[in-house]
Amino acid sequence: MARTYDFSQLNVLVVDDNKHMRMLVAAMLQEFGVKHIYTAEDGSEALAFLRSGPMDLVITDYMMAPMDGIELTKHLRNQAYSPNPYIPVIMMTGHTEKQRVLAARDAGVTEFLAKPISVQSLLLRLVNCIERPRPYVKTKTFFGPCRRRIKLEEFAVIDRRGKSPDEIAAAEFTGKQPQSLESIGSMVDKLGADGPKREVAAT
Amino acid sequence: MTVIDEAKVEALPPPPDVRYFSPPNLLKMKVGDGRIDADSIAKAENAVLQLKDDFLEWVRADLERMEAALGRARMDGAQRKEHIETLFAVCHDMKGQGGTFGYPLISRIGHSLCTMLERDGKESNLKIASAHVEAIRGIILRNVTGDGGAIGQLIAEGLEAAAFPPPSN
Repeated sequence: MARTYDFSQLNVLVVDDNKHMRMLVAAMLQEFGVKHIYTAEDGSEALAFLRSGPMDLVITDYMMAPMDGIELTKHLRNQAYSPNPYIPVIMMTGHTEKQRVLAARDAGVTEFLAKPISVQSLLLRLVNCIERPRPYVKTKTFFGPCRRRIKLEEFAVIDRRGKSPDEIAAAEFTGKQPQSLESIGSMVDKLGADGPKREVAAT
Repeated sequence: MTVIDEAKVEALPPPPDVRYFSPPNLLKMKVGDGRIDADSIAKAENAVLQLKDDFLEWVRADLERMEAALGRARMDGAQRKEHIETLFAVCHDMKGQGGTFGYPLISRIGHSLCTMLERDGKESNLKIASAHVEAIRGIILRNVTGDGGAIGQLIAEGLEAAAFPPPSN
């Protein structure tokens, strides 16, 4: 019989300002067999947790206040008093613009997890951290997992640099069928009345 | 979409002031060799299903918060920026969760609204924002899962076209 991972000794910290996301990620991890799951609402609370005891993995949201996921990752990687500069950081994000993805990469995240998340997508990032850890790199301006293997195309990123807002929108939303707001409103009244819907799985 | 030629990038020699090193793989040392068994994956999928009813409750509360923020943005011009930011934050959470629980149309329409609010800030067109929120309300009230069928697609495309009209010549 094939061996399975033993997650029972892992300490995982889930950081998100939305309690429902924390619950969702924790529920998935629990079923994977993780027994020690800790949660924090923002980066500063996460740092306090990380300083209080050994943690093996951080799964963090991007946008939080007062300290967001980027600042948390920068602290972990670069501060002299970092509790663990090598800890794997999986960053969950609904932001897919290239600038934001690059900012996260340059802060030193290990893996990106695009929202909406799924069991499969979380699992894939977890297994990547276990089986395909990236070497660490130290330069004058960066310390963290090697950035060469971050696959930006997985995020269907949109390059916003040097583009006007209209060009950005055109890149993503062109060719859509214009409707008046009134006709959209009347269609909303008919939602759910046109038979079975195609189920679209979160990737 | 930006596609990186990974092979070309990997082949580049590192600059002289760059140092590579591989710390011990502590995660691997703790979890050992193996894989995740299918049973655990099925249980995790089931755990998500169990949260689906909770999601509908959460999302109803979020909808009320979005409607309240929209109403305040209309009435309170001086604080409009803050109300738009609240609307964006709640919508962003909803967008990030819809697809997980089988409501990708919420995520799609949420994405259109978030992108518009982020682009236009306090100058956002509140009528168009309101149409997005109304559509999300319709999805929730009628429990429209999946892509919403033909009507769902027309609504999403109509909202995207309203939020991002083609530039006029």
